[in-house]
Amino acid sequence: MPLSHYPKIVWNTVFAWVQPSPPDVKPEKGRPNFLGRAFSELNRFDKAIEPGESVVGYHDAQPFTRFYGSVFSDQPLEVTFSFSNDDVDADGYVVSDNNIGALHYDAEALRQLYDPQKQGATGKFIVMIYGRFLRVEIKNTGNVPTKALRMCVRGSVF
Amino acid sequence: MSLTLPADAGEPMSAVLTADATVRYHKFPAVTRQVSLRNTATNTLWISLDDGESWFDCASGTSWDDRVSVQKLWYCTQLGSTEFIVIGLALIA
Repeated sequence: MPLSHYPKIVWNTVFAWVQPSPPDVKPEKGRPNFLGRAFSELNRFDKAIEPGESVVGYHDAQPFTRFYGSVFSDQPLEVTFSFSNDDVDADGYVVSDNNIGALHYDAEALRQLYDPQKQGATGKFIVMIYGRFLRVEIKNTGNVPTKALRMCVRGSVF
Repeated sequence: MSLTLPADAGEPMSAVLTADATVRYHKFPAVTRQVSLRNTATNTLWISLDDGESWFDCASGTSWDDRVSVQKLWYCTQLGSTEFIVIGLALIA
């Protein structure tokens, strides 16, 4: 008889942008690989976000009920969480890694204006899911490229 | 083989695997008598026991097990990637 257990995961990082990127350290031999993979494979940071430019991430929202996390940067940011309820794309194809960026993200759940001078008030978030697929955008609204960026989006199953 | 082992004892054949949109299979060293797996990451895992003829999903953070006699397990995701650990139990020779 198949058995499915109630979901709970230790590793629940959906997105991470960490600037500067920390080096990878091999898991200790004889112990579990608690992170599941090298952090560099999780870290979406590629290069500093230029003023007025954005980085975007997409993920299946279905496994979670809420998303939570934190923001830190030396620059002001506009962080937007939006959801799509498209089951197929405009051409009728099922959603995949190739077309998830082309869906209609009609449900804007949160548009947060991060201010480095107001870390306590603007450096954290929790977002209820409003759709099947999640889109997160980070836009640099400052005047210079980011020198430091730490944004982590985690999924909660409860 | 020790005669004190229970009748349903088996040798574990464990693997930690990563699934993505490409359909792949894991081949156990021997035919299984039972398979257990746990999806340890953040995307839904799809698995097949019959070369992709039929599929079923194992949600993020959930486990699945059944008494099945197979040597291959096919797997993929719809979106992104996910990690899972699979343990096949083989009959003790």
